[in-house]
Amino acid sequence: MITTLVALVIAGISMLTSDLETYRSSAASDLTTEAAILALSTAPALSFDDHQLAEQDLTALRIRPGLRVAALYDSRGKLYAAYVAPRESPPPRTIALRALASATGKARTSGQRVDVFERVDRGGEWLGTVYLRARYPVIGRLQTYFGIFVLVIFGSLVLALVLTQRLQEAITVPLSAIADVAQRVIRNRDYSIRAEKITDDEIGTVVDAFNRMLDEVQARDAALREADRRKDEFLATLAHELRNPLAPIRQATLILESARADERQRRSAREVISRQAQRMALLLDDLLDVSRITRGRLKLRHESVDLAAMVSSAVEVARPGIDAKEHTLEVHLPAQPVHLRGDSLRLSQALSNLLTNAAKYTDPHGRIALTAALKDDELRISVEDTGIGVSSGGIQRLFQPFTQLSAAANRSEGGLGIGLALVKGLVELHGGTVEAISRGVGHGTTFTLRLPLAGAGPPPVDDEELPVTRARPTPPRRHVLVIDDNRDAADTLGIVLGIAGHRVDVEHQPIAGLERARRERPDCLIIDIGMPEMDGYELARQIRRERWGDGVLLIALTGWGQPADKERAVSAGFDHHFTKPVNPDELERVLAAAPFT
Amino acid sequence: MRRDRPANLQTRRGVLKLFACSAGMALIAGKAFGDELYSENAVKAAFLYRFCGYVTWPAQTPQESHFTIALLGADAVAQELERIASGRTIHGLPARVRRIGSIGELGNAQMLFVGLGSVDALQEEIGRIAQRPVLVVTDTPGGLDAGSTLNFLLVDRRVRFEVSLVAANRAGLKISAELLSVAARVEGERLRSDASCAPIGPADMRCRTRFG
Repeated sequence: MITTLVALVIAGISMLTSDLETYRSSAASDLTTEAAILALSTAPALSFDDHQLAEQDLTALRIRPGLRVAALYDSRGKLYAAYVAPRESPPPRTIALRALASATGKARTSGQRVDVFERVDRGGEWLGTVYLRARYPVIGRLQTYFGIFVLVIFGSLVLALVLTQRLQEAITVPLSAIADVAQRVIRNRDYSIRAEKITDDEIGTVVDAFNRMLDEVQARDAALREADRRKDEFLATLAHELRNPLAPIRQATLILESARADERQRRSAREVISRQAQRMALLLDDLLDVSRITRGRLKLRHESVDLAAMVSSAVEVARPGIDAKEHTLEVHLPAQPVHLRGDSLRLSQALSNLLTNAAKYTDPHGRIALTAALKDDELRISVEDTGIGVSSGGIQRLFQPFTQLSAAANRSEGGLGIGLALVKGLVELHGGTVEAISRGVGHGTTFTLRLPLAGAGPPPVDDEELPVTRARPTPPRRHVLVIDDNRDAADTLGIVLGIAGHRVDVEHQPIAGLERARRERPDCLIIDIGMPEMDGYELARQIRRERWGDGVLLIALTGWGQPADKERAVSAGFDHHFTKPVNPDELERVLAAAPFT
Repeated sequence: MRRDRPANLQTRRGVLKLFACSAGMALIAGKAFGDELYSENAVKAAFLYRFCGYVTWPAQTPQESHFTIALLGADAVAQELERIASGRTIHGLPARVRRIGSIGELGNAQMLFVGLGSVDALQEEIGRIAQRPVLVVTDTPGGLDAGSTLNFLLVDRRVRFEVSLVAANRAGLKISAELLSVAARVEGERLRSDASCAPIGPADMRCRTRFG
């Protein structure tokens, strides 16, 4: 606004000044011309000393606006004749001819007055001088102009104000609407509100972007809530699933404690404990696997996999479930042997998951068909069942972890709902895809795996705690010291190792354990990390400082399994780090492999 | 206005008037003129010189070498005129003043000033040169009746003049309207002593009179 005003004022003043100048100079030139004409016309009167005619000539100029004095001077500079307008000061009686000589013909302006002197010549004679004086209403003109000027400025300012107001509104109104919506969204945490798009310009673009952002926020919020809900659901399911095996284990231990149980009952109890423990371990392994896949930490082997062998091992795992419900299983494989690159164990795991699912979610005496075929440079394995099927809505959620469709959950066959998620993760890590098709509830389901044959396998990596059972030769006998403040854990581990053939000692206090180690110099120490008085890391460090400490095999055994924990273990001096419950075979492998003096 | 008076009386009256006014004229004439003397003769001489600027002569072949103003019976004026005209040009020709003794000595002069003489006497003499392109100026009351184009008058002790367009026409001379506007009296094609004459009006050439 100020800039506009300043610009207008400057423009106005310049125009005013310019106009005044033009006015003045044109007035002056007019008068000069007038004087020249008068000089010509009064020559005769001066020539022949005709006073009356001279007066007439001068008075004739009365009609000319602005003319105040018209005077004629003789050749000696004396006033000869004059016309003086009313209320005007008279011309000088005499004029100095010499001073006049240079000034004639040029108008002089001062304020509102213009004076001109002009020579009267005729026939080479200087007969006299004409003098004209005019007044021009410069002030009046100035005032008029100023009035117009102020009016124009005022009008322009008003117009400018109105325009800027309008333009601003075009921007501020929609922007404040957006801000308003933003505030409401934040205050009420209501992500369904949207800003209204009024115009189709840049502001409209902003509104669109803002709304899209809100869409995103809303979606993520919903996703978060969903994930949260699933997590809660999962935790509940997990608790439930863990209680299931625990119950029989407890009961079994009761049986073993009872003196009145006979041998057959005791054996049965032992079997129960073993089975249920295995089941829990499997459950937790699956969970860990899914977690690893999600975090991108699952490492796969890179080897040549024989299809037939893989299928057969998967069938073997799923066989109990299939037989229990008396399903029929058909397996169709290609005639020629098929090899692909990947982790045969994991692939087998995925396949056995599918088979187990098929068995679980099919009524007894159902049919399961496994068909493997080569097509277009990929291997297709389909598992088809005559089970409960999946609704079209359910297909979408099938492969999400911790999901169990209502129909399946009601069957209370148990499970965490992660089997399919695991299958998907494992297959995708191999560069393949898995999909499910169902003709609807009650019409069975078909799962199809597609695996690329050429190359697309996981990068070669070192293995990590594979829950695998391997055949092994008779291990050498070691002297092992177990230090764990959890008596049951330490004692049972000791028994297991003892059964495996090692000499085992158990200590429940770290310091006592250290002293015993000093005394007896075992081959290997298995140390729990979380202990009072001294934690496992510290114990390991102390041991390493001992003279005999360098060559001892130190194994950390703990419930903490994060990479950070492993690093700490390694830097504390441990050779290995296992999470509880440790796989005995793993432990065996390590004990067997370590070089001992 | 036409004055019907006997020639001799006219002349005597004219001469008396002339001498009577000359002293008075000195002061009055002095108002209008710068370096010149303020005598009546000086004024007349100046007027004679200036008349030339307001009159157009017909083209003469062969071209004259000078512009000659001849004066007859007016030595005092001639003296003044000689001073005014020296070194000056009139209508592009160097000005020359000649004193002549009679009309016959006019020669190729473009202008003639007759100082003294009665109307009748002048009439005959001027009549002889009426057709020639000579600007004849007389200084006698009723001089225009003698056939001159211009005649000096004394009005309110000021030197004025009257113009005869008839004579000018006869001589083939064109008188500028500016000169007519300054003239005290102008005689047109027809003489008319009409009181209803317009006092000013270069358009009306038939009769125009000023100063009564």
